[in-house]
Amino acid sequence: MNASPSYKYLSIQGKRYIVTKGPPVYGELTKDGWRQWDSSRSKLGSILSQNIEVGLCPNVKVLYLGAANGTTVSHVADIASIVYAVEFSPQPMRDLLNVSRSRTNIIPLLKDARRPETYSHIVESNLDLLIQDVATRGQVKTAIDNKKFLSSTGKLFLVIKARSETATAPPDAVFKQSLEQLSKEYNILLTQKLTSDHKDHLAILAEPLP
Amino acid sequence: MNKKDMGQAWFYQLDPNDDLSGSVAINDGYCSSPHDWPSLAIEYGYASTPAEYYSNLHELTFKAAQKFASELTKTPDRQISHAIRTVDDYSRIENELSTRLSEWIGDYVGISQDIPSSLAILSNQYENHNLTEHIFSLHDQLISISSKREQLVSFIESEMPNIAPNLEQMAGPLLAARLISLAGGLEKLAKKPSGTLQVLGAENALFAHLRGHATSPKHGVIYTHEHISKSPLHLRGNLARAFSGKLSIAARIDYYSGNLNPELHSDLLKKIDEIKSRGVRK
Repeated sequence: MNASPSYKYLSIQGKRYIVTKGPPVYGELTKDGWRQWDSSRSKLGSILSQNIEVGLCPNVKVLYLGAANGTTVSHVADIASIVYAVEFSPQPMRDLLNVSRSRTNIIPLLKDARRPETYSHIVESNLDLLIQDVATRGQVKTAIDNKKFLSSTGKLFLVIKARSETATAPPDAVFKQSLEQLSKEYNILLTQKLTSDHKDHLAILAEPLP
Repeated sequence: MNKKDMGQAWFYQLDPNDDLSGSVAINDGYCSSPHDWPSLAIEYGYASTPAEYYSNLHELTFKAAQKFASELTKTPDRQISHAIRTVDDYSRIENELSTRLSEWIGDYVGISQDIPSSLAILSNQYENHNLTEHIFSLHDQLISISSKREQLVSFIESEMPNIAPNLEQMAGPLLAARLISLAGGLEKLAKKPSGTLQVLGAENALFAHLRGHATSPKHGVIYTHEHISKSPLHLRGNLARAFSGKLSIAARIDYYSGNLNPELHSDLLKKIDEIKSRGVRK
């Protein structure tokens, strides 16, 4: 059980789910204003439901890279005070905007996460949490380039999609190389392979090196 | 914090009532590094509280994202991609429904024959019968889907010369539209190497090959063009390479200039003749 009051476990229809409080978004189960965080649709949800802390608690300010349709972002926004949600592709942005309608603490940004200078005039410094889940090559470089938004005590939650780096190399080789590259700029706290819902993905929790 | 960076802030010299310049500031702005923008905005006088700052920022970024998302997606090449995919969807549905109709109607007429003859029998014997009215309405639906598909095909045929004249001339309007749709737009098609264009539509075979399970595919959707599908098997690889080479030049001319270049097309025909005559000699 998690100490944080912002998400918790709740039994809905006989099953235990991780839940957050907010208006429903994607047809998830709800009970007393709490909504199920579907861990098969959210890598962060999957990690949190394994009792792993990533530093997501009330009043944190978050930069979320690869916001996609806003499924995970909606849960993060239920907890955090501000979520800067960067998404490059216009089609998922439509869904993300729909989610942001009922959550005014989401700052939707149609930007390329690989070019932080294009949103540094909007996103503030000293953020508490950087969440990155982008489907592009150069995922580690993106995490490094966006380190400047994090406060010295902030945390990085990064999901590496092996298949986005290359379709041919074995995932483990991609993960190994990614971790080596990442550890030049971040202190890696934890790595965790995701469950079968998210194949060939590695979740990494890290803190910025000074 | 230097003065230059303050000038980069999204709210710098921004009129809070001017949504358009606000959207532009959000979209086109630039700064080398982030700062404590909420505090700076309050210091600068743009907002009086953090809550007001975030509320303004949320509204503005929301409007900007919506505006630029739709600008990026309502382009002619994306409309053509939707049109050709809808044509393919209609075709698939037409096939399924007409198979279903044949089977259903066969139960009544007892012989496999063309639909109009069967319908004639059905309407003579079972008019206004509550069991057969669904068969008639299925048939009506089929006719309507078919005519909508034809309308979309004419739309593509009439639009393609404006969107990609060289590609249209070389591949025909439907294949040209398919290539644009598979590549994800004319720009992406123009920027792809011709070897990629050659196997567009054969992704399964291509990735099987890259994983080392299979030989490389000779062609993807360009196979549907008679340059390839009506040529002898052993020449198709060569022809596909030549064809895709010229197609990708055509896509580049279409994307960057948009003028028809007749020489390109005679070049291709010459090359195809060359390959075919070489093939005969072997």
